[in-house]
Amino acid sequence: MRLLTGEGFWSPLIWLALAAGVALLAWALRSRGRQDYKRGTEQETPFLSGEPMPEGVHVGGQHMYWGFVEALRPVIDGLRAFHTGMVSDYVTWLVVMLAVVFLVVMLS
Amino acid sequence: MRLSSFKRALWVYHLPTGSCNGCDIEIVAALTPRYDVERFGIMLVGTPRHADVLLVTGTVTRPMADRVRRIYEQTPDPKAVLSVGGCGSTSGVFYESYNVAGPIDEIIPVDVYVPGCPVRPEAIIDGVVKAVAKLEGLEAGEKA
Repeated sequence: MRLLTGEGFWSPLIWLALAAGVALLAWALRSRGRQDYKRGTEQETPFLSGEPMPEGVHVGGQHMYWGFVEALRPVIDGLRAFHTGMVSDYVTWLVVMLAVVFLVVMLS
Repeated sequence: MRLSSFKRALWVYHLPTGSCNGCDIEIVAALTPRYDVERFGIMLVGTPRHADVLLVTGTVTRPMADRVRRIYEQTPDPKAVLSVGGCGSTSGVFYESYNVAGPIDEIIPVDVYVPGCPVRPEAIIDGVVKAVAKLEGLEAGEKA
């Protein structure tokens, strides 16, 4: 039940044991949380500075990296300029990058 | 009651409901090195979901009344409410003003009143100690 590779080994039994350990740790941490809240009351709702919980509001995935996008706005705008949507442009970039990699390999 | 009788850390959520900030500044003073309430385990938290005590300052303005009720309901039990300052206790100089819903105890139940305009940090610490006594009594009652 062990697969040897050039970089190490892979054993499903060890993976299962590690996964069980992580699950056990997660359960132990979660069980230390407060148990004394009342179900079905406001104590279960998110705290929004006292505002009522609006219907159908979710935190979108894009909100997670909004700050990074704004902080790196010049870089991202520059990268977006490369994305013309034309296959010939992408193939050109591929050829150019292959040439760069080739030069780096040859020179090293 | 002596402070050495603290059995656990006490987490406090500060809820300003229309204060002039005089009492709020004194709460900050209680956290500074001169008084340093954190050495007793008393610390401010950013959400009532983690709080044992609601520390409410100022008379309750009309837009804040519903928010105060909701925050009180969101705080886990057992909890204690501290009314800090004269405005929170009686509405003070804003008594029966058109934009005031009332003192804090007309909106939510208050356990400890700390009068003053503004209150001194020693008085706030004394009020928190009384809130601890109330919480310990509640917990002892729940376990019995």
